[in-house]
Amino acid sequence: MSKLILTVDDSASMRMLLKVSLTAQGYAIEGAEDGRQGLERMQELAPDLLITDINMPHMDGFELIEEVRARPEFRGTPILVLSTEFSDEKKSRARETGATGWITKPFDAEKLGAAIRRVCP
Amino acid sequence: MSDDKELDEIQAIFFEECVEGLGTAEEGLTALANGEASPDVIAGVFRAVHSIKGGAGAFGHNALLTFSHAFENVLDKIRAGDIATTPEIGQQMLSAFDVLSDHVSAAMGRCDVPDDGPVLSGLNALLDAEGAAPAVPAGGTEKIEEPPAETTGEADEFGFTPVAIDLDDLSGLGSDPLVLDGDDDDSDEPWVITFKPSRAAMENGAEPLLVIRELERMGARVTQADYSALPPLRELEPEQGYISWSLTLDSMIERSELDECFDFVAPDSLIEYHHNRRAPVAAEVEVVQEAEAAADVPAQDASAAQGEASTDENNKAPIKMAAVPAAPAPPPPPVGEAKVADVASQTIRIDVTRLDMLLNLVGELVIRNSILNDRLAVEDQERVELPQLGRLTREIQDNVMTLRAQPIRQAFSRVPRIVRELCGATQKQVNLEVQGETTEVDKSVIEKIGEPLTHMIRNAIDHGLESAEEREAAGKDPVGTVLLSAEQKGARIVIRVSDDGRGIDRARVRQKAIDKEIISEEDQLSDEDIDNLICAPGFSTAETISNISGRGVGMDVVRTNVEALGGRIEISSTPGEGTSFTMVLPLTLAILDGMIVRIDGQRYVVPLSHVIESIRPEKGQVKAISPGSEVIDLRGSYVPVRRVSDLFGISANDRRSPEESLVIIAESDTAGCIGLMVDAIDDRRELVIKSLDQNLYPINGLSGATILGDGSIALILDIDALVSTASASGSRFTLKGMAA
Repeated sequence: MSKLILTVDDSASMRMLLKVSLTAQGYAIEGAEDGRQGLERMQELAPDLLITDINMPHMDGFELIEEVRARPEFRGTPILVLSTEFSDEKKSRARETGATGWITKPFDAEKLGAAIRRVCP
Repeated sequence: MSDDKELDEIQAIFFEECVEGLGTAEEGLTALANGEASPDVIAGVFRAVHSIKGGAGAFGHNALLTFSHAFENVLDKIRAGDIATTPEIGQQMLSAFDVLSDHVSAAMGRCDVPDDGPVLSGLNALLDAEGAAPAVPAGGTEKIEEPPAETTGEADEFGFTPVAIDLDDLSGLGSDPLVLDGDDDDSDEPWVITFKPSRAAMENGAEPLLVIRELERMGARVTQADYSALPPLRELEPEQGYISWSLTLDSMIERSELDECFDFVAPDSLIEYHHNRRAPVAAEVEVVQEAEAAADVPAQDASAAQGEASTDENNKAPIKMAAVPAAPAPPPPPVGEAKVADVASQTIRIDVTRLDMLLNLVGELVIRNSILNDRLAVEDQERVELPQLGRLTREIQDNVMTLRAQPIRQAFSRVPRIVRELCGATQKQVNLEVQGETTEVDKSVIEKIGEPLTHMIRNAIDHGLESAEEREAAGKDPVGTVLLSAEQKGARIVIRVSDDGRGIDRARVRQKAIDKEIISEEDQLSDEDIDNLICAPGFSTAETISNISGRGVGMDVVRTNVEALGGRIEISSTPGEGTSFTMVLPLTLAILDGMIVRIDGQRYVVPLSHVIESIRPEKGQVKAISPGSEVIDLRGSYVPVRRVSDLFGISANDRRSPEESLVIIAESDTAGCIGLMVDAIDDRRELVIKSLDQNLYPINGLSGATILGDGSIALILDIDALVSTASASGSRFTLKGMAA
């Protein structure tokens, strides 16, 4: 069965782009449009991997990661941040919050795939 | 990755998001310029620009990417409070915003890439002044703007790069991955790699096994696994890194590839790699090992791999291994509470064509419903519960219509920019006030009012408002005000652009109209008539045609456009006090409340919104004033009466006397009233408009057609056109396009 990835991004085009890129690589993709919905979808779907944006309304990526990590069942779930931001400050904050890795947008589909393979067996 | 068509579709969605984002940004920046931006507003602007930037990168719009990046950096500083939120900054950001929206248009292929040089320098100057982040991104966007530095290479695609970035100063977590020597990259000696994942990496869901697998895929072999630090099983913490691995790897592999491999376990894990010719430096870097109580979770596969490597608990000496043992299959993902997605989504994007199709189908449903209504006797209607079905149908119709409704804000969003540009071009000071922007109208209306609205705004500022000096001399505030408002009135939306300028100079307008032979010297015109001349074809009062509102497109085009939408333009003006242009438009272009009338056995529809009253004339109330020209005496005032059959050149076999007919007094939007003489009024119905343009060709005097309950077709009368034709000399329509 293919791995399920939840992508959280407030931009519909970005979610679709991820879906198209990753479906082609054999992953099953679900989406959510902000942190709040992302958390709900996490609990509902228990995906193999969470890919989240940082800047989102209602609940941003940092809060989402924090919330996800606070739940025992998701302690081991890899989380990749996919953001146009690249400041060291943000990256360390993401890491402290519990992100497994950080990928800078724009992403290259192949490299994204390679990155996923490194966190999600 | 995928076929181009799919990408194009996604890109189209991205452009939609851009337009929405620009709207949000402009609103927020305007608030900023007015000194009333809250942190939430600034954050919203930041998010909007941030998303534009993200998509720009994804779709390869590099100019947009570069510009939005600089823009975002400044916003970030504003958000962080490093740049003061002064109105001046707001103004500068608004100017930059205009360039940003030009960039978006250029990305859409609607115009050339704008020259953003000066504005971009302005933004960068803001950043420099604050000692802010570099103007050129150092992350993933770097490769677009300049070639990446050789040593960091592709690893820059990922964040936790184990080289070059000193994350620990910022995070205080662990230590940097150790890179022993950056000069030996060209060595032919194989790589020697040491790797010990940190607790932090493991806690964040990193998977050492996968890193090792990836290295193996590149050709690495594990030479040693040191699990001397591994505690007895009962003390083992699943998220602690106990094992360190040594690997060798072919020298041909680039350092950047290794960097990438370790990306997600850096920077606080112990990672070192070097070419073999030097003795490895002893790894002194301590991994942060907090003695926290083990979390109450099942062992993760990472630790499973560790566990397997330590089958002999007593043997804690380093051992040589050919490869790491295969890890057991990872445990199935934990199943969270099965929760129904009750709040799955608050908004859904739907292709408009689908909505239109639905609307069309609902229209058909309405028609079928009225057919049943017509064909069934009342008791049969009750028996099959037709009235209930009818109510349901109408409700569905109403609901579908609201799906297409959108706040008029979308059409208003371009106005502030137009005003700003005009202020610059005319050297006038203008304060724009906007009211009622949440008023909802049908999407089709929003799409079509943009151009007329633009022209009305241009007209108000260019012609309506005086210069600051002139205003001061007249004792007015030097800053002129333009009020843009929208409100719903019944089934119509009223959009008004008013200025507090000099008002219409009627003497001049009249003279101009005479010069242009639109009217003659002898014509007696009311003030209202003179005002309306502004919308007459070929009229332009600007003494020198300015490049702002005198582009050869006059208010007559605006009027034509608005009338094509089934609307009208009203002008009112008070000399010295200002002018207001009012567009009155139907809320929807698809449904019409109509009165069904019969003329010579044919049925026509008169839009109910135009109907004032219907009268059965008494003898002598309708008077012939000249052959083919009649008026009705309506409580002392005379209204011209037209027989529809005459207007369309239909020969009536039995010409009725007025007393046998009905006269419907219909008000035109622009040119007063008309009495339409009809034989009978059949019904009043909500009707679905079928466009003639689409199915036939535009016919003057008719605004469309509809299908009646019995399945027959009725033409919808265009009252405005009827009135203007009735008052013009040739009082008969010719069916244009018949020859074609």
